[in-house]
Amino acid sequence: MPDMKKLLVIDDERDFVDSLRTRLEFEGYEVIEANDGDAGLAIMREQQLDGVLLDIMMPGKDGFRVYEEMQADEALKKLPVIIVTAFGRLLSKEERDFIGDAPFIRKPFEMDELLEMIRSARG
Amino acid sequence: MMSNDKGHRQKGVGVPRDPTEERLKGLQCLYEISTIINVAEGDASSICQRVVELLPPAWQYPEVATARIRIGDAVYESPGFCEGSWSMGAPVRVSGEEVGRVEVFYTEARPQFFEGPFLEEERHLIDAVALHLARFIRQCEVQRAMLREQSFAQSIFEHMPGMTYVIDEQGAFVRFNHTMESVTGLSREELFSVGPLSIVVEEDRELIRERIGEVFEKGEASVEADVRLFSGERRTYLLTGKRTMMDGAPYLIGMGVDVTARKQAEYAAKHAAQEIEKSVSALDERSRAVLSMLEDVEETRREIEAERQRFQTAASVMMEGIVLLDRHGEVVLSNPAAVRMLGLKGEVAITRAVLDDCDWFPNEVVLESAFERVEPLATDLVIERAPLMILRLSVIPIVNDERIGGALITLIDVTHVRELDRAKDDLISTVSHELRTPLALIKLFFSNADAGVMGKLGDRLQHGMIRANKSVKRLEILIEELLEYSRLSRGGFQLRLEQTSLMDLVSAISEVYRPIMRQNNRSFQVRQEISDAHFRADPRRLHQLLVNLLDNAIKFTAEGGSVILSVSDSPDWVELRVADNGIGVPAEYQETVFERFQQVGREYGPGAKGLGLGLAICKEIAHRHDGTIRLESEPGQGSAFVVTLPREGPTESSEDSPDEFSIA
Repeated sequence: MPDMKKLLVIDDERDFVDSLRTRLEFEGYEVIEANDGDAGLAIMREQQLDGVLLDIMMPGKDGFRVYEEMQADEALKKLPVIIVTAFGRLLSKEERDFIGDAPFIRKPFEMDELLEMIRSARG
Repeated sequence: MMSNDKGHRQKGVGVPRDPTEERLKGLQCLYEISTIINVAEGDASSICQRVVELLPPAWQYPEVATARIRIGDAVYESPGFCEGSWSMGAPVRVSGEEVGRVEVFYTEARPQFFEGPFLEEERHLIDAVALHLARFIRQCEVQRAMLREQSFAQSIFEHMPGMTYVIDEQGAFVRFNHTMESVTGLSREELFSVGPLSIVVEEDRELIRERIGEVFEKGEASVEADVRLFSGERRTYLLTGKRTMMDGAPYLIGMGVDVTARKQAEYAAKHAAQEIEKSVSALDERSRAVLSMLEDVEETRREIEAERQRFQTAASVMMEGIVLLDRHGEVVLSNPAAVRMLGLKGEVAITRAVLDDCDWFPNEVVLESAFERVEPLATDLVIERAPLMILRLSVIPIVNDERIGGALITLIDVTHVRELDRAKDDLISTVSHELRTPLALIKLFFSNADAGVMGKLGDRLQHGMIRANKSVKRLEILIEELLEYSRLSRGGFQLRLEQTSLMDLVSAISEVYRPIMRQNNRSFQVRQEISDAHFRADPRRLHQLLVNLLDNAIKFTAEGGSVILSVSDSPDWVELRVADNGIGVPAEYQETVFERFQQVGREYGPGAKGLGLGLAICKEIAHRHDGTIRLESEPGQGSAFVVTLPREGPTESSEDSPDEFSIA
């Protein structure tokens, strides 16, 4: 799958998701949004997706937990994930180990950089 | 046998002889004996023998007469002596004591009818002979005694330990003993010819002459003079003299005794006495000095004690834990705060064993730092018990006159400080997060607009958006710096050391900065003087360092200014230098520019004013590489930041930082 077409954006910042969705659709992607972890996981299990943009800091189930569940789920394990976060503090070693090789981009980011990551992301 | 011998005399005995003739024979015998004794030629035993031989012929019947003389144990007999039964004898008495006996025997039997074989005259004769013998023996004894005395006296004279001499009124030797010869090495004849004066050394002769005169005048005198020994050695003699009369003439009799040894002894004793006196006075001085030193020591000890008391008092009220070690690593002083921090109850003293046993106190590391490496140590100890405690441990080796005197250990409870640090970091994190989210939205909005999501924008809007975007960028830098600061304050970051190419580093940075410099109207030169491009470093961090320095250079130079990046190396070092011709840094700020939140002077540069963390970060990066960073600057002339890094990289690789996520 050289390019992701259908993306799920999980982020509790609705305005940000709105802007991102506008841009991604402008760039030719189909965007589905979820504003918390559980909703995101539900969509992942219902729909066929090409990739997930996952925020870390969210009320309820945070990005780490979502990522953990995805890794534990054979069906979701292969789904490409890009972590997009405004994470303020430095990540602990455990957290870093936890997300492993998953691509990571910190907000605010250069849009071109994110688009490049999406293009090169592999499941 | 005896009877056979006597047989031929049988007829003689009992036949009367002419009495007159007999008396004449007796007188003749006595005369001869007295002559022999008086003349006394030969020794006593030959005289006695001659006497005993004279006796038988003087008797009435000489044919059968034999004689014997016993003196003490000596026995003298007439020729053919035979002890017969007719005998007469007389004792030899000297001083009333019988010392011997004179006896005459007839070897034939006594005639029965005659009055007897011995005449009255013969009895007188034998008594007279005994008397003569007694006189002779006595005379011999006296003579022997005299000889003994004489030889004894002679022997004494000769063997006197000193030189013994007799001198006459003319000052000539009359007599001297053998010692004189052996001492002077002169023969008897030479001594007699040279005289007494010549035995002493020349300078003492006049003195001797005077003293000899004095003896004859006053009776006695003595003098100490040096005698030249035959060995050539010179020795001092005490020469004495006393006047004595012999045969009506005065003589000097005296003795010379070697007193050199005594003189030497006296001298030595005197010298020793002086030495002792000197020593005693020196000792006295020294003891006085020692005493005063002791007083000083005592005073110093009191001062030290007072100091110690003051220190103890101060230490006892200090919040910081203090443990003082002596040079053997034993605890000599500790304060209540240290006792409390070590979790000891009440009055329990801190000892080395306590420190060894404490499960969180790294005593081995402390001792190594204090006594082996002799380097200060400072580290945080996290004691994970409820409540969590963080102690700042410092070890300062105490070195006196290049000798290790001990170590001062301080423990500061930094739990609260660290908590504050953490709270501050958390705050920064939160603020940073809260800022990032809206900023991300704004940035995304501009990006979308720029991408044409919103369609074609008017010029004015376009212009406004560029300006707004600059502000966004500035905000972004501020947030980055905040994060960087947070990272620094947590004890840094992890270096990812690798073989790094100096040329790659320089070309990458110049590629980025050439357009930036151009845009900002600064001239930019890169100079490389590299012999070996490779060194061990973290290229990302060095890139960050150069970015900070170059950004700085732009900020502090005016439009049209120049910035020069030079790199050079030596076998051991790599040097990075960023120089500008900007406003420079005043001397008073040159030390502090590397501290956090320090900003000096006016900035010309574009974009953002930062938090003043750039140089602090540079310094941290340089130090983490075991390198240095320094500033060379003249206000108005410009500044040069010089970073020197060891080619081998830091000696100990940095500990893995637990809470850092590289975004570089």
